[in-house]
Amino acid sequence: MATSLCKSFGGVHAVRSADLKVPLGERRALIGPNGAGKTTLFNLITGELAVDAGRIEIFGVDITHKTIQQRAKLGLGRTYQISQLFLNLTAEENLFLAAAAGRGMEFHFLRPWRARLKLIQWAHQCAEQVKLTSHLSKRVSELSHGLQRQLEVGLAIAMRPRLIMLDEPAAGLSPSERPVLTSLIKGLSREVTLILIEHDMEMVLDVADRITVLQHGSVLAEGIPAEIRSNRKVQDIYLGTIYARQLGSN
Amino acid sequence: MSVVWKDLRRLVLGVVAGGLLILLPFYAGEYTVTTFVRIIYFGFLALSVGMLVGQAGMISLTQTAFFGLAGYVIGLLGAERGMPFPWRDLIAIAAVLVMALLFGLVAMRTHKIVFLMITLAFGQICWAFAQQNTSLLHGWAGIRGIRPPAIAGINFNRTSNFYWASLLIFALGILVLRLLARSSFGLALNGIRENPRRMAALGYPVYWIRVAAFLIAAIYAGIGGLLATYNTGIITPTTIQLSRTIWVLLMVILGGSTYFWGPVVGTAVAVWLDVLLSEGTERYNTVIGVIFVFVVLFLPGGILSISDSLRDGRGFPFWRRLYARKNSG
Repeated sequence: MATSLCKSFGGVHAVRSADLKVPLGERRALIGPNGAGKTTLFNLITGELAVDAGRIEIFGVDITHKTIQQRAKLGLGRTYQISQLFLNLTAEENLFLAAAAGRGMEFHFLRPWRARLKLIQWAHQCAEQVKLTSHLSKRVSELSHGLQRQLEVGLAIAMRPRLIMLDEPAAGLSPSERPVLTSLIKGLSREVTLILIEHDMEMVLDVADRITVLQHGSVLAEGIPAEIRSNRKVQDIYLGTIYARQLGSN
Repeated sequence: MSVVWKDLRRLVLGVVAGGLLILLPFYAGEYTVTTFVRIIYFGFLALSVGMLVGQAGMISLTQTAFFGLAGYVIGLLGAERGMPFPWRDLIAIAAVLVMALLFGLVAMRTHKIVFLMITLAFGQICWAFAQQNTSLLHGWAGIRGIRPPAIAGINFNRTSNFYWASLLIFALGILVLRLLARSSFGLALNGIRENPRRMAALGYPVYWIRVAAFLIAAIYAGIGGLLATYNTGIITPTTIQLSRTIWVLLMVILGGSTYFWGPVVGTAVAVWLDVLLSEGTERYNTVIGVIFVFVVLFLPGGILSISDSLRDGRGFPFWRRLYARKNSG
């Protein structure tokens, strides 16, 4: 839950007085034209940017001034629009790092990480969930963009979060690669709350329970997909351009 | 089957190499043994730099200062005030740890080029202090007459005894570093090298992991400094000057900073080049410089990348680079 969030960069008000309340277990999509403040709002919630004004709460805890690490420990996981992976490590090592996060294991100096069988097993389960089982021993830099996007989601799952924030999970994917990602996002546990930014309306309508539309850094509309589709204001500013074009091309 | 053979081959290789090293004083001259002692103490320094550069992606130009600090402490406490082994040595390592902690708490807040500059500045401050302080550290003259202790009746002034002791400590150091590299700590360090931002988002205390790595690396530099000072019997500001720091960094790159054995191989090659070339020419540094240019151009992964490259069937890296250049040109 975020209340009256504000963030400006110099004279630009990227997010102004935005309110967002997502009930537990819901799948919420954030949409809006480029520059609407979606990613800034994301970075405020995950802690990569400091809040100018307002309050952020997750699972009843005020996290407005908590560090990124503290938010992660509260169960906040995220993915990035541009993949943030460990390129020269294997997919297995990537997933293990996510699985072992927040357990203080980084200060176990002598015991080999390969001896942590339970965590490795969990990492393998996550790999299966994001369909990377056959690529576990490959270096991430050798994986295709599509597989890297799957791993990006895999890292978020592996840290066992209660809230996953997906920043344009389908960014840069070809139309043929999208269904794989959509189906694996839909296959995520219903206990996990999901907030996603996405431009691909087909995916948004398929995945989201509710949609929030941002414009100029504040909330323009919010509702179930059918309501958003029929909302005139939304059609004018956003769907009128991109969505209509997408529908037209189908 | 092939895995068993590979392990067996490794075991045989290890036993033969270990045997040759242990028996060295029986079949090699005193000068060769002394050269190996040099490889060992510079090896510790290279391991220190290599761990930070290769495992954690932090190019530190401060490690030589820790190397020198350990030497100065045993000089001040041992040679000048008569404090016995092992107290002076333990105090030396403790001093290294305290200095590394104070410095690390500041430097680990920075990344990349800022980190490089702040470690450079710190190394230079230490050097300037050692050079200009005459009352305690005797400026350029430094501290002389530092002798290794006699422990349990064994005289470590004898080159062979000192060599065996150094070899044992080096083997232990490598073993511990091997365990560290394979631990969850080591993997977390690699994660920080690859992507500190993601590590933070996963919940890792990136700052404290880097501080811990810096402390461990400082201990390695300190142990190298102790052995070096006992071996040469003297500690002066020359030990910690910038050219030494750069030389160590080059050794690490020469061997291959991302390989576990890279720093050791780089040190062995560089020290032997030093010995062989200085017999033949006075322009030793020029030749070394040219060799490094060729390594950076044609073997950017270091000497150990040759075997990797051959194993993957990519051919000898040197030729591959030339070939690639022809194609692109």
